[in-house]
Amino acid sequence: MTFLNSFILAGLVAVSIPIIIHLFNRRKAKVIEWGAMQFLLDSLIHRKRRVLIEEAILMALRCLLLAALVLAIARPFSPVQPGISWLLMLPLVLLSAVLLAVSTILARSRRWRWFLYTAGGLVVVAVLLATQAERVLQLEKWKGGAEQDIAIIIDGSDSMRLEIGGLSNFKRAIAKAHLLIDSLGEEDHVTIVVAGSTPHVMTLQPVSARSDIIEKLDELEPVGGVMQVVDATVAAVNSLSRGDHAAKKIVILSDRHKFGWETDNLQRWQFVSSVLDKLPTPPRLVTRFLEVPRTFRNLSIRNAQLSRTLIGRDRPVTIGVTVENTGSEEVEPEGVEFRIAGGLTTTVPVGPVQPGESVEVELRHQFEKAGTYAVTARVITNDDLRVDDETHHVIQVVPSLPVLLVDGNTGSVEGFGGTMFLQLALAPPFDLSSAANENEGEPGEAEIAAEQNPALVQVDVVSAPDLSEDDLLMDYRVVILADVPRLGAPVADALGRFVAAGGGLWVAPGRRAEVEFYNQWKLPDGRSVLPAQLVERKTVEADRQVGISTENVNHVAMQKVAAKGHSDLASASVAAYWELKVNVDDARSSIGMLLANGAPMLVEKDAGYGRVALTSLSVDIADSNLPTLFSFLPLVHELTYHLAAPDLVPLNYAQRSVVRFDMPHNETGEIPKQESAGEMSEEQDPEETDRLVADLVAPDGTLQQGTVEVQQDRLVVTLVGMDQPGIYHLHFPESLEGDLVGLGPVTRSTDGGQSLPLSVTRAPEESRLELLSDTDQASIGQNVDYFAAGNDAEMIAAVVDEVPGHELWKYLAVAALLILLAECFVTHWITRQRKVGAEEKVEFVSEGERLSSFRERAQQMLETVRTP
Amino acid sequence: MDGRTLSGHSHEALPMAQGHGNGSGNGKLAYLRLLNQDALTRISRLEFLARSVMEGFISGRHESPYKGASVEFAEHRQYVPGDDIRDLDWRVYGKTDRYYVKQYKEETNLRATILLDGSGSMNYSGERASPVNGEIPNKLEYARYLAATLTYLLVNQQDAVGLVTHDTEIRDFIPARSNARHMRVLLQHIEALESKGDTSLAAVYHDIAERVPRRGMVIIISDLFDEVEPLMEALHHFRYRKHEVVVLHVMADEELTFPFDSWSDFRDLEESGIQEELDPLTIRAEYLSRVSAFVNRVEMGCGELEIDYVPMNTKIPFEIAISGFLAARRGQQK
Repeated sequence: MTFLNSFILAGLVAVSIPIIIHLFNRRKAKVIEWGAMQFLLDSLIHRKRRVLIEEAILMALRCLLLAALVLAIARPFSPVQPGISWLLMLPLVLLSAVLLAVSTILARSRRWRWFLYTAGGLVVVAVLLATQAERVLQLEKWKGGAEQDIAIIIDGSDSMRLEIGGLSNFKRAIAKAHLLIDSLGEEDHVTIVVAGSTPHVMTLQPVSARSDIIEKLDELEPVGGVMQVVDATVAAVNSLSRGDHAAKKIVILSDRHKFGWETDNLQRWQFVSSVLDKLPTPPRLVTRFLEVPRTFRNLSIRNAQLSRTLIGRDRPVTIGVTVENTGSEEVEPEGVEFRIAGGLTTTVPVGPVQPGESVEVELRHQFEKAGTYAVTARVITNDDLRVDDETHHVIQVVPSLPVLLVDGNTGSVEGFGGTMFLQLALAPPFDLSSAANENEGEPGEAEIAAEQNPALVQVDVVSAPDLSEDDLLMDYRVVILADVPRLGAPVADALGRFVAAGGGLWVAPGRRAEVEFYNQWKLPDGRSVLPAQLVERKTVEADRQVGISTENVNHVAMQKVAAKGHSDLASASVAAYWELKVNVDDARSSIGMLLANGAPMLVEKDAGYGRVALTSLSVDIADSNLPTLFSFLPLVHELTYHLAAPDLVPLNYAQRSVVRFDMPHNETGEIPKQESAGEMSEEQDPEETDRLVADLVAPDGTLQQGTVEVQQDRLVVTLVGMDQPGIYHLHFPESLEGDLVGLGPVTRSTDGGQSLPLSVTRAPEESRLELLSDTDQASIGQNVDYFAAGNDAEMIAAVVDEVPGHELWKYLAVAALLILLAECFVTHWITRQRKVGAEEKVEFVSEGERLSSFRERAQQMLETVRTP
Repeated sequence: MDGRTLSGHSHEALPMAQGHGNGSGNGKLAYLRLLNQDALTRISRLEFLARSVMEGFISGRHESPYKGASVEFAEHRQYVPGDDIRDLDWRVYGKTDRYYVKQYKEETNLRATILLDGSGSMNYSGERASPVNGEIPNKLEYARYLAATLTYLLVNQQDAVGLVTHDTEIRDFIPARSNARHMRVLLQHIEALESKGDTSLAAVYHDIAERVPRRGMVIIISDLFDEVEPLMEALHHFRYRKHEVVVLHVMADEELTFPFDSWSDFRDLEESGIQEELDPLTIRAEYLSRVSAFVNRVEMGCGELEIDYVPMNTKIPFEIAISGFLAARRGQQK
């Protein structure tokens, strides 16, 4: 606690006024030689104690009153981080006043009284010294120097768009920023950072031009996404480091939304601390949280999902979104509007959604053409937070999925091996697509659709001995080895490269599979191709039944296939299978499915850019009845799609500062020669050849830039600042056009260039208002000099180096008033008790009456005498 | 009753009062100051009144108990207006058809004893006391004037007057006699009385009650500051001894109103040495209620004992007070 008008404290001497008056009165006491001592003493004995207590109370009240008044005028001030609490200091002073008062009245001897006076005085002096010391310490603590650089970080996350009373939280934060800037000194410099998923620094360095800053402030818009506090702070520090002044401050204006603070990530904040320490004086982090409304209406839409990873034109795909009520009141939207780039707009009705409830909304759609489609789902409602009413997804529709089926069973006498089942399953001779389309519309349309939408999977069958390296140079996405005993070394190596470059490989070893070949089969990088080792072929005895476990299905693609109620996999009967030993050391291997006896049935791994699946069963009817099951067809399809999926370019991202992905050069599946890439980098300036600048058009139309790096066999795309939810368009540089011809997701845009649509989805956390707790803030405070301002005044004080805190004079003024009332009451009460002015009158002599009667009588008598 | 208009008429009957002017300087005649010129002038203006009062006071008062024994027939005298009709000798009237009044021998058997309290508390000198000779008398002084005046009046009535001065003990005991020289002795003793010591009236009154001859008149001049119950018992003792008792209760106005309002250091006038520094306002009500209780108790007790209780507030000029008292006696007799 400190005093703002500390010199007023000299007025505490006034406390001695009633004491001095009292002592003076006593000192000048008139000596009265008194006769009626017996009555006096009797009265005294009866009243002395009580009188003393009354006097002491009165004196205490008077001294307290003066002390409280003086203290109030001295404007006691409680800093937010007090060294000594005012709850100790003020009572100490007041108690000292009471001590002085009481000792004046009650102290038995003069010596004792002076001892108490000294004690009281010393306490007061100690308190005053302590407050002065605290004042110095507080000023030191909050000191920054006269001129300083101030970074104002404005939370530009999605949740700041929440509108209450027609004003968004962001606008409120802007208002606070105005308030803060207005209170800064002329020489203070300001830099402004709008923090979202990426920080936007408005000025490269702190600037003093106020009008510029103020204009810029008013033009600011939230950047969206989650406020990445650490990134924003680092950006602010970067800007501050270019400032002229030694003293720095960072102010964060936020809605206290918890996400993005990363308070549980100690290392991040230690990093912040280390960054702050690089400045000449580590700045204080001051936060000012807006008052967050308790009730608001909000629906959020998120989580656009597709029923399949690989989408062709052959059958419809289900696009699902989740509508969640993250507000506090029930909201009934008009529906969810799905807009698919290219024209189609459908509204799916949704009923009322209760707070906390989530509703899944689905749209079934069949794409007519291969290509890349941006899908936007919007919940039609008029809620308080509009930004999360929309979600985006980019869907890549592939024209076909060429599959090479390598049949190792050509020598089979039966001629009815697994290969045939697979071929039938993957590319049925009849048109499945028209059957699938029956529900969609009229037969005529279905026919047209069937013509336009050929079957997705196109199967070529080759017998194992005939397989050559050249076959693999074709545009296959997936290669299936069905009951292949072994492959020649060149072919095996080529297949390894195929996988490494992004191809899918399904190995279904049969009874003739050579353990040695498979277990020794390596990828170009030296790792084994297969996710597991073949150990031993096991034959199930006739009296025992081994099926396929539909429990514990880990494999993403198999979960639907094995789903209960739809699947007959449980009725599978296995006659023979390979015992597999999963490479424990290979973290990328995972067991997708099990047999009923616990042996692995499907093991998978990502290898290079591709993916390899190994089943312990062959698809031969002799090994199991799997090919006869209804589930066989979806199983084969899903697994094939799944294996082809890694080759898809990832097109959907959450908001983040940096997006980095790689993609093949073109759709031909050509594996670029290592030498050619090497030659290029040697011959030309690597920066020019390897790094190309690509234009990135943000959803709001602003132009950003990304880089495309040409590596040996891939294009590595790096995009910075993907923080706007919506659809981005990446325009490739013209020099790459040749490489990109026919590449699946890349479409020819209106201006003739090659472009790639990318979706950015909001962080779903922004729809929920979870507040940063005090504990979270405490953990921040452990790493950096952190201060959460409770109000605007504290914020301003903490920034402009006034000690933040609150004044206490009001309490003292109220206390003084109460004491005054108490004093009046006690005085009145004592007066009544002592019957001052209303004392009993001693009826001693009615001399007046006696006198008058005497005079009358005397008069009469005199007259009587004179009469004769 | 304006003293100045009356002062021109000095009276021969009061030669002693002439000496007062330098009375205080003259040791021998110092007591004469007690017969205050003004006061006596005033009272002498009332000579007739006083006399009649005294007659009434003395004769009337004692008529009943001492009938025949104390009053001896002297002669008849012709009636003049103003004579008491009761004194008419109806037998003579029956014989002679003239009004004669019976004249009695001017002799009384009244033996009055004045008990003058000289204890420390009588030394209190309030500022409100009515000044005598330009000085403010303390209670003892006031009591002296009372005693002296009464002595003078009684002696002038040819009554026997005795004097007992006391504090906690009897100091002087002068038996009642009735002559002018005796009066001088009495006045000298009254004058010589110095206040000292504590008040312990009860004991000393018991003592005096035993020593004063029975059936006398006892005039107590005191502030009566003592425990009230023993005091009442002592007064009862006088009554038991068939004394006629008159209590002239002398108190200062300050003692009755406690008018102090600033811190005061009260010091006991008696020998206890008690000293109390206090704010008088704090105990005023309590004090007054105690004094009031005391006064009431004394007055009531006197009433019960058929003692003539006369409050004497020193702020009333003593001559007026005593005249009033005498008038009241007269009134009572009537």
